Amino acid sequence: MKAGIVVIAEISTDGLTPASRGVISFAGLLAEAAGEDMLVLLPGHFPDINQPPCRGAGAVQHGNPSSGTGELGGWSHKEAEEIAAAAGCDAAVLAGDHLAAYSAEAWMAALSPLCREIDPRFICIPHTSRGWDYGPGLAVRLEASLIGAVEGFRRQGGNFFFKRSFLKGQWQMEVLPDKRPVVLTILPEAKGTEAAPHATERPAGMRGRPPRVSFLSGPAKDLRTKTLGRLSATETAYDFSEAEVIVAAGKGIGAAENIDLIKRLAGIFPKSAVGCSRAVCDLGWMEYRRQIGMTGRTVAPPLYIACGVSGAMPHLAGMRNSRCIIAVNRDKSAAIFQIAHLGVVEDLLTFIPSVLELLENRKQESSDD
Amino acid sequence: MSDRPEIKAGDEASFPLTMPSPDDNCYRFNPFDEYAVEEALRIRDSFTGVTVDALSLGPERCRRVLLRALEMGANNATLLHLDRPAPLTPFETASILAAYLRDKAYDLILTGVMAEDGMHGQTGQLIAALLDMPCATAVISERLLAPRGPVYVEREEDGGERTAYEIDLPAVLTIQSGINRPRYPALSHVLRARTQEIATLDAAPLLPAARERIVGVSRMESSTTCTFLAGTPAEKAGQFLDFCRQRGFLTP
Repeated sequence: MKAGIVVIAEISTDGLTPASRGVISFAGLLAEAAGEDMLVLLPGHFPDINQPPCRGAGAVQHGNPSSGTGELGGWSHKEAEEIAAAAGCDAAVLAGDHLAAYSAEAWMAALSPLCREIDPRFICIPHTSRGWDYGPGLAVRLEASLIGAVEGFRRQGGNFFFKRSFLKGQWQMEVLPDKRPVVLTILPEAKGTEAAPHATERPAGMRGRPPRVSFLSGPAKDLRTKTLGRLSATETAYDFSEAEVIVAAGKGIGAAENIDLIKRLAGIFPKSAVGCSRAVCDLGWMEYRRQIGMTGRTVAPPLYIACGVSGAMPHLAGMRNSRCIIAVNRDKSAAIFQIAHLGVVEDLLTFIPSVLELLENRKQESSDD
Repeated sequence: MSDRPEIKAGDEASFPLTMPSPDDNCYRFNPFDEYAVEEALRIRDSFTGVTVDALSLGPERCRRVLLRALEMGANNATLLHLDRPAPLTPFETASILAAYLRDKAYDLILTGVMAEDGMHGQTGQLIAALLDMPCATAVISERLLAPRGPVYVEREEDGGERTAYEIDLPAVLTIQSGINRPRYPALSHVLRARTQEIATLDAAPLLPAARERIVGVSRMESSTTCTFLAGTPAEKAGQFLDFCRQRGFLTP
């Protein structure tokens, strides 16, 4: 099995994860630009795919099936083909009991011999808590180039340059890989992934034949990481789903006592909620259950008001699909303005009080009329 | 760097290599690393015979960070000295650190989950892979079951979910923010730290051949899609309210 572009997709109880669909779309553009074939790898727990074609990767070793994670009930052969069809290009299921309950060590052990055999130019991985976890170690095992949190690419001659942001999203860098393969962990909004919903209709590098699905088994040997299982959340996540307006506090609010201002601003809207960035939780100014971002909630309300939020990637990951975004920040170069529709460059401690005061005055006037 | 392939003509990045200068005020103790130092000190304090060594790679200004680690209570500090204008890739950083750590027989290597500036979040995993150690990232809870391990960890995943693992030592843990409250140094430690020597080693010979190169760095342009409100703060407040009302978020 050979391919120029490999996507390592993640599957959840609903099939391909949205992040994986985004990466498949991104990889399709990369395949087009590089003139390469594309193959999607699906590591996971497929209980009925226990007998090979088991090539290269070694014998199937059945671990304790009741590893206690309850994460996935496992996928059937037929479902595997549906997931592969949704990917819209050739796919290889990499089955193993130990691949259900994710651990970086198990995934790397299963994926690295297979990737070596496929010998791709680019390995595209979603920049999720998994992809970001095992991607670097996979790159070392393959002696590959490694670029993380990729937001876009540019081809110039035979070279591909990959773009990523840093310093709270206010700076960007371009990285040129020197090795083959190149391991990329790709952000869901990476350039080209806007087309994600249509990805299934646009088979990349298919050469006009229906997608093929292969079934492989990954080895589980000598793992030094024992997966004990998923834990139930320590505190119930705040339910943002009913809120029409979410007012979020960032570190820029400056002090715990200013949270009250954020609450008062939220209070002027009929259906509102108060959230915050991770930094605010780490400082102990708000509870973790209200955290919005990569390791918190993902929200997409009709209106999101970001107050003193710098707009670093992990926070944007949790709110960038909000229908309308207003950002209030003293620093005009804050990255949050890159995705905001309306920008207010002001000090929150003066701006919010003047909003509250003005609203009060207007109410008085209208009741005087 | 002369020992590395030149960027050939036609390879130019779309923007030049302009690093943020030190007066951009972006150089300080990476807050994620403070959590890692604190966690190391807590482990040491719960077992006998454990020592904590702080390690930093970079130019002279990294001494400030190591001094702070000593003030917090680290036993020893070592600076892997490297001063070059171009930014290091995580692979270069990890390779140098791994080369230094290889024969040191540490049981546990802790890093911050990411650097606040580069935000790669790769160095810990790379060190682990280069030293063939298991690794847990984004560790939000940790309990060393015995001085020589294994270590019980909870790793934070997307949406704040957690998965628990038990990992054999030696291992690398990358520490997530919020796992603890980093301490303020006690006065006695501050005074002691002043007398402690920071070992210094030239890291240049440990620099590996690059596998990827940062070829362009630039500041983002101001947003072109965002409409910025103009006027006095009071005028902006009025426009803000009008905007919300027009879109039906505020009752008229």
